[in-house]
Amino acid sequence: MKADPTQRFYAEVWSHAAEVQRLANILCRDTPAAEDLAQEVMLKAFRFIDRFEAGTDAKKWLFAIARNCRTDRLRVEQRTAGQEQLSNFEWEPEAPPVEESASRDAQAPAEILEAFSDREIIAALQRLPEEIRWTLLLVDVQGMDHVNAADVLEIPVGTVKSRAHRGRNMLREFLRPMAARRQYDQQ
Amino acid sequence: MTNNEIQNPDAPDPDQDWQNAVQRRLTKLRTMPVELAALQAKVNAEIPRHRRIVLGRLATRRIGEVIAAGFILAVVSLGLMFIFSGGPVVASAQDFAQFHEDLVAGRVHAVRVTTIDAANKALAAQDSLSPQLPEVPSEQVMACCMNSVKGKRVACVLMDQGGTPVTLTVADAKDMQSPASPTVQRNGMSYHEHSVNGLNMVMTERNGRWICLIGRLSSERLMDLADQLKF
Repeated sequence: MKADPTQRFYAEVWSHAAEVQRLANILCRDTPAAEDLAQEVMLKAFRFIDRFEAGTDAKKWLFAIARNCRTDRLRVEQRTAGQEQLSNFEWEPEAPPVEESASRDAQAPAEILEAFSDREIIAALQRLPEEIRWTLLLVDVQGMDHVNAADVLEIPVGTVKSRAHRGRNMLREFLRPMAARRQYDQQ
Repeated sequence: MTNNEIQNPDAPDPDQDWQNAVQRRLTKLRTMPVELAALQAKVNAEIPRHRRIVLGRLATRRIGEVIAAGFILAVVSLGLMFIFSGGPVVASAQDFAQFHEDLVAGRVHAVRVTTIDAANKALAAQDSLSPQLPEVPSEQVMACCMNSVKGKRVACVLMDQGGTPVTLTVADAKDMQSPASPTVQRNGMSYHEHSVNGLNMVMTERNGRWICLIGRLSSERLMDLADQLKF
């Protein structure tokens, strides 16, 4: 006998709702958009619960739904307002060469980053191109391995690795000048 | 993919410390508390509506399917009546174990409180129909939150039992039933015992309320704690 979909939804999928909401909070720039996205993902998960194979990775399944929902939303936004680029790889922060900037830092990287609040880190993440942001969200924030992240993003594993690497460098180049300015202000 | 992305990720990185530090800092966002009340309310509201839409589609099928659909409709309606008639739902030990783990790991948004009185006030502010929490020794109270189990309200409080986190969940006894399991009689009370992945839980009913205590403590310790609850 087929299991009740509501029961399956709550038993197998709902326990990842907080992770979906967190992902949406970091992806979207405002709370209503994040709430809308998380709701769409969970309701789609309920609607298509019969397509979820019991015993497989529910979190990965939810993130794949989130990825599709987000892509659809951005396409609509792009058509109507041209606000967000799906694959904006042209943009780069103005970064000095690594060797030069590294020698500037008196503090250890971890110490510099710990001085930023979660909100500031999220704000920096939200300035990254969408595809880079997704990669860092899945690999670093959610702790997915490269293979699973590649499945969700439907890209090769090597691309996940290079995007993660590049995204961390971009974050560094956002945050390091901010930290230096703060230090200067304090002095 | 652009040329910028074609690079060898295994090549020596001159700034590996930064890579590691950024990765570690991002990992910390995983424990950032999130507000689930809006999501939970929306999902709870939409799921019964979705069922009505499905039933509506069934009813408009071709004549040849109507008899079969009618039978399905009757069965589903009975199920719906059972679920949404206000009758009790059966608590799932796995769900409660998972909820406890999520609460302890900070994956569930909870309000920090130090007394049951403060917890009851915080929960009432979130939901005026929140089940009332019983009194527990105040030095144990850490945080509280509302949960929804199959559409039924469950008030939760996280407590510290000598360094071990214990979750107390309370629902209206009309809303929740303990799943079938061995029962233990103690001080005139009947307790259902469950264990999921090393987490023990005891479930019982008192003063019209269904309660469940969950933690990595023996069932006896959890029942001791249940004995201290004042309704």
